[in-house]
Parts: sequence; structure tokens; C-alpha cells
Amino acid sequence: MKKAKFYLVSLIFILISVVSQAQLQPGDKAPNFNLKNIDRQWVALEDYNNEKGVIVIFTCNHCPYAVLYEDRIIDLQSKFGSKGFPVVAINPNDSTIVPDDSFSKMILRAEEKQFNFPYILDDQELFKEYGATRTPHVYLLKNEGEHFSVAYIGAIDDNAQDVNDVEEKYLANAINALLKGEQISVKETRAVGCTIKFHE
Amino acid sequence: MKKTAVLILTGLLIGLSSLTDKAYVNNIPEIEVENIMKRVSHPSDTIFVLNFWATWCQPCVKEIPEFNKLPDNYKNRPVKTIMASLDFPNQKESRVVPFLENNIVENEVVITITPRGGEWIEETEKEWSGAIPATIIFYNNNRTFYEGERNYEQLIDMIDSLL
Repeated sequence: MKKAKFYLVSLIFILISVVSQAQLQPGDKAPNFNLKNIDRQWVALEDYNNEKGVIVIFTCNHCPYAVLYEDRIIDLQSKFGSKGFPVVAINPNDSTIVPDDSFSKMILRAEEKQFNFPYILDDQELFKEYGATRTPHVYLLKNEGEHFSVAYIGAIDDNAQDVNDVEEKYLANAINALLKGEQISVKETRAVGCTIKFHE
Repeated sequence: MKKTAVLILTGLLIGLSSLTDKAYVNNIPEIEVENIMKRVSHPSDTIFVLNFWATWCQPCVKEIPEFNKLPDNYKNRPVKTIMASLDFPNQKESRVVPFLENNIVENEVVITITPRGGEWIEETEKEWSGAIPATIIFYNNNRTFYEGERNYEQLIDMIDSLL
């Protein structure tokens, strides 16, 4: 009997750990967050309840692929922020592993590049709830009224190195589809990026 | 006289060996990811260790010495380790060649040519999100995968899981 109880408890623990590492899929409810922005104000998902959606991008300072997309993220905010899809950039890296991704370095980088969007620090391992594994890693969220759902997961476009040679703007296409009330044709993409740095 | 000859000969040899190193470094092959996969996943008695890395990727560079330690032969099976760089192919001369001149990479290095978009990532390994470093080990129709940094002991554990 005692043994059975032990196995049951173990099973529950295993299930919990499996669930907590699960990757979000398009259509899933987006986890809430409340994290500190570089202006030292808190930014929560519910702050965006009056928007049509949110472009959540797990990104950072140090990763060259994230750097290649900085200007494109600024352009996304310029283009879609006023249309109801503002950008929220989230740095998931532990700065004890990558000093360049510290809160003070985030402030510096945002100033240098004149970021026009919040750049918040994930010190609560939110990235695990989203299932983000790399920087940059995009989650396009759609406002469903009661909550936000995940509409698109993946890359911003199909060419990290050369913005002038992009053929498919996956993220912009997904946002435009939502704006028109159409189905998103590509809901998930993968791309090369940097692993998220955290203490296991 | 004899001493001078020995010195000249030694000098020549050192010169030659650095020339061959240089020739190797400048001749890093550029191979389509599909063809790399064909080579390593072909069933054989060889254990293939395939590491995706890039010069710009800090944890990748940090784990290179761990891959350098991998033996050529393990439990009576040949081991072949391939370091597949995901640096942009047009940065071979500006980044990869200088990197290889300044760092010790014992294993074969190739520049990975990838198709546009990210579909090739899932086709290469369905568990892979695209973050590097990433390592796939192949042996006899089986494979094991890890996304993230590994050390020598962990690599050996990965190999053992296939034997």
C-alpha cells in the first residue's frame, strides 16, 4: 500500500515536470507575465488587454542572431504597434552566465538602438512556460477577450543575415492575416539561434 | 655544417607543416546539410558525432575542447566527429578561417549550406528548435540528440546509450 502511494506520488511528480516543460502550440492559451522593464516599471500581459494582440519576442543583447534582428524588431513596432500589435521584447538569459545580458546592459543597448518597445527581464523563467528555447524566438499572441492565445511561433522571417533578401516575412504575414480576420497559413517555423542561458 | 643543415631542414619542415595546415584551413568544404546527414546517418560500424556550431556562438566555442577529446575508436568501433559550422557561408574567409587559425579544432570542420527558411532544421532532427550548440550522435540506424552544451563525459554517455 505504502509502495503504491509512493509510485502514485512519483507519477504525479513526473507528470508535473512533463507539463512544466511542455512547449506551447499555436492555439494554446498564452501564460501571463509581470516582469520589470528597463524603465523600472512593471510590464504585464494584462496591460495589453485593449490591444488586438502582442508580439512577444524572447531576445537578448549578446546573441549575434538577436542583433541581426534588432532593426527589424524596431520596424515591427513602428509598423504594427499602432495597428494593435505592439512588441514586447523579453530577455530570458541569466546574466551570471552571460554578463552582456544583464539588466544594466539591457538599458544601455536599448538606449544605443533607441528601442521603441519595452525590453523586460525574465528573472522568473517565463521562457520555460512558453517553451522558448532560443533567441530570437517569437510568440505572436492574439487577444481572445478573456485571454491571449498563441497564433504563431517561430522566426521573424526567412533570412537572418540579409534583410534585403527576405522572401517570407512569416511574422508580418501572420499579423496581417489576423488584421484581415484570415487564417494564418504558416503557424510555426524554426530558425537558427542561440540557446537560452540558465542554470539547470 | 651538419648543424646548419639540420636547422635548415627543421625550418623547412615547420614551414611545410604550417603550409599544409594553412591549405587545410583554406579548403574547408562547404556541404549541403542534406548531404552531411546522408553521410552520418548511413548505417555503418562507425559512430558518427555531428556537432552544429558557429564561431559566434559562445557555448559552442567553449565545448570544442570536449569534442577534441573524443577518441577515434571507442569500444572497438571507429568514431568520426564532424564539426558542422553554421556560420554564414560568405563569412568563411572573414570568420571561420581566422577562427581555425587561432583555435584548436581537432576534428573535421565543414561549412553547412542550408536551404532558405527553417524547415531543414526539423528535417535534420525533429527535436531540434534551431538553437546551437546541438549534437546528434549516430550509430547503426539509431541516433541520440541534445540541444545545448555537452562535456566529454556527457558525450560518452550519449554514445554509450546507442551501443
